[in-house]
Amino acid sequence: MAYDPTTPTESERSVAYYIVGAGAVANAALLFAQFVAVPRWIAGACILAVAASLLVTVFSSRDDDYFRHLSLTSSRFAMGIIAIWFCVAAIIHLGDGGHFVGELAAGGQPSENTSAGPAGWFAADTLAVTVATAFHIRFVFERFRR
Amino acid sequence: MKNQLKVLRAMRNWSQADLGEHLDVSRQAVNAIETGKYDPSLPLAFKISRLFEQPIEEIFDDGFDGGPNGEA
Repeated sequence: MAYDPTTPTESERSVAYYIVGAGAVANAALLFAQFVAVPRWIAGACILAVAASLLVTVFSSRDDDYFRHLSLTSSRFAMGIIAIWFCVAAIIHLGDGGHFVGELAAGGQPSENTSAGPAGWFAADTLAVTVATAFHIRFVFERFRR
Repeated sequence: MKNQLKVLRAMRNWSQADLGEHLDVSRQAVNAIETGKYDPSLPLAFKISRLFEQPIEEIFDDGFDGGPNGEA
């Protein structure tokens, strides 16, 4: 095979694993920050690390077969969480409870029975953290399972 | 899937990182293949086969002893 000076070395390929590992730690901290107030700069740094981890998963070309296998498995797991989220949202929208929960989420104000409730489908950041957490949990589990 | 990768690597006194360098994969990938957690893709299996100059079926064992039509 012809020598290609741009081919990543073994250590360069390992970097992708370390970045996702750091992202998993930051994700755990971010999850913690959902329940306990932390300084904004800490939350911001964690969000940045999680974003970097997910971006590496999507766009990295300096990885290998195994990393792509882990990414695919973890992404499918995260998609499953989104599907469950949609199922719950569908039940709330379709059921009588949707109007009731919407009124509660709107602070008890009278609300139209439209797709805008309940409370913009819960909080978007909660969904994002939940899906990222699912991704990282599955990635770490697959990586270190026996 | 069981394989002889660890033995073949040890015969050459290579670390997992060394083997990863030869195969253009990471140390983590070599470890996952050796421990049976991950079955390599066909291109990677061929690369391993060429590197150690052995047929794929002598390096990897899927536990199937039958003939091509499934007869034992």
